[in-house]
Amino acid sequence: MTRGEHPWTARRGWGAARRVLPRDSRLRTGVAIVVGLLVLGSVGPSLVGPAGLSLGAAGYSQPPSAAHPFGTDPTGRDVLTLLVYGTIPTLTIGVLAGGIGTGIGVILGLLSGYVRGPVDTVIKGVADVAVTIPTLMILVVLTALVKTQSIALMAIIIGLLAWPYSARAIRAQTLTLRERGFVTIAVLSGRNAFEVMFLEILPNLLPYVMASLVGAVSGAIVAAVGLQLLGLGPITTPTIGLMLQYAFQYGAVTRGMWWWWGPPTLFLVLLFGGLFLISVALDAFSNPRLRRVEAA
Amino acid sequence: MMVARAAVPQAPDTVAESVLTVEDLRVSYASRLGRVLAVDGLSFHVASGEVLGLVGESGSGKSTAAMAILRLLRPPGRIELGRAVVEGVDLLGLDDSALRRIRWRKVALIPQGSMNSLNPVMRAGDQIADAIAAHEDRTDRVALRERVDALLDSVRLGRDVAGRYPHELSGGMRQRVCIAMATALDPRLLIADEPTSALDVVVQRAVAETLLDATHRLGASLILIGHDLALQAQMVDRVAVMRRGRLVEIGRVRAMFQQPVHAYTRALLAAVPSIRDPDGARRWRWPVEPGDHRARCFLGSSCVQDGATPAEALPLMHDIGEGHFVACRFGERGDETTLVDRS
Repeated sequence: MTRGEHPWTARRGWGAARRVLPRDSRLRTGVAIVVGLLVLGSVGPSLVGPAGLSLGAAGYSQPPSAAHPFGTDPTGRDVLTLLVYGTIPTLTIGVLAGGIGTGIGVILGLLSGYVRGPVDTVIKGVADVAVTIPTLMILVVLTALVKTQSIALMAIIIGLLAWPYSARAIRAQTLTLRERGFVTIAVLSGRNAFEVMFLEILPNLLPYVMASLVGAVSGAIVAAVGLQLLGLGPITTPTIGLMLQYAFQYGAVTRGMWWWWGPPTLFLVLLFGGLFLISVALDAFSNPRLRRVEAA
Repeated sequence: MMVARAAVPQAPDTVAESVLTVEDLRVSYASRLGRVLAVDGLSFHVASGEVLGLVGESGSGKSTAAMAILRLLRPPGRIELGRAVVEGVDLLGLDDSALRRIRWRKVALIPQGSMNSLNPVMRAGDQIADAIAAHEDRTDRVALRERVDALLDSVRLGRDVAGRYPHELSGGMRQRVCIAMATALDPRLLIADEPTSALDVVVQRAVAETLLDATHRLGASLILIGHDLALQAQMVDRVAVMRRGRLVEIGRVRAMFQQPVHAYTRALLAAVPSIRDPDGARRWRWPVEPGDHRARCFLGSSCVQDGATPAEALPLMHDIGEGHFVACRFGERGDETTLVDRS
């Protein structure tokens, strides 16, 4: 039997991932966008230099010009420089918080689905209730209490609240996988519960974990930006959210300073668009019903 | 209601050397209709080096019995009673850690061919190696690799199979990998639960032969669960027939298939289409009455012995010679003079 001849089983595993995913144009577009923003954030600072970050470095509230392609804000900072320096911290919040949320979610989801019983009742109960409560509301209260002064702390708080979504998805998949023959064989051949969960079941769930991670990353960035728009984020590190916070606080829209609020908004639109495309492609991979019929 | 325990049937030529002795095993499932006995007072033994067939219709309790012996039963299934002794150790009385040490080393399972018995995201060789490594702490990679190769050779698979994922293997090859896994630790007993179901007849035969070879090579014993009577006739030494959680007849396969005694065994055999008697199967009708435990001995209206009244007590297993035991109050060939003592 050659590769890919077995349509049903071919959908599982990394062999299938390697075959199907690179052909998905949504995934390629999404990855290209996100990688492009990453390059902007990592290469950009060395190109533009930190000069534009200081107050009054350039003219105040200048529209785009040759010297300042994205113009300047009312404090005289260069918008392009702010954008470029804010990229990596913004993405860091997303990846850190998304990673924490997904990590906790995967562990709890596996425990809930595999161990079942009271453990399942508690985890599932908490997760089901938690997803009905608007996260931003809890975040507002929490960040106001903790007074987040670092992006890492904010990311941790956001991440700690993000686990119920992935926990529910992973639990559902674990429930079906635990009934498979290979789990029986693994138990029989002497593997303990943790080995079964993490060595036998988890590798089968990697496409779901990836899809869940991407969703959690964009969710975390939304939450972070939301908090910052409310003035609850750290103000010591430049981020896209902080740019927007100042832009709206000081009336960028009513003052017609489109170059102030436009670039960070466009940045977020691109970022969410890219992450959304990746997540849709991964979803389609892990849930074959959503996949378009492949040409034979 | 406690039924007097039937004597554990012994094959005539093997007295002491039994690899597995199951005594009075009783397994129930909790259901909305109440407690359903899936295995009810099952007793048998498997001699060293012997191949025992376990046959019966769907729901007769054969798989449940196997799962119970392996301690793989999960709620709502429950082992109520009984012993399953392997080399002096009662599997049903072991704690989890002792069980983990002994299982797979002493008793291994070859699952149904239709089941997803291999992890789809692990290479076949790694899965075999893991089964070994889980029981042997000190195993270096090279030695492990060599053992995996030897195991693949023993089930007539190429060594390249070790590097392949299950979806790259055919059904027959996957089942061979399962046999290699099961024999990895030289177990004393293999339990194969319909190992060749979901395979076509040609592959079925090849896999069955591989399984027999592996069993003989290890000097192990094999319990072969299934309902393919033709396959059983070719593979097993003795055969046990189950119905509704009880053993109805057990004996040497040749003798039993030639001259079945119990009405149910006869019906089962008659259900196999015969080229000499095309209408044979139609003469037998067995009403299916799930949960109807009054008719557990299967006499009465559905018994072929005309004029018999339904038994009030369950007939006990009794010896009708040469290791042939039958649970029917009519003795040999329906002769009432050999009635068993039912007191």
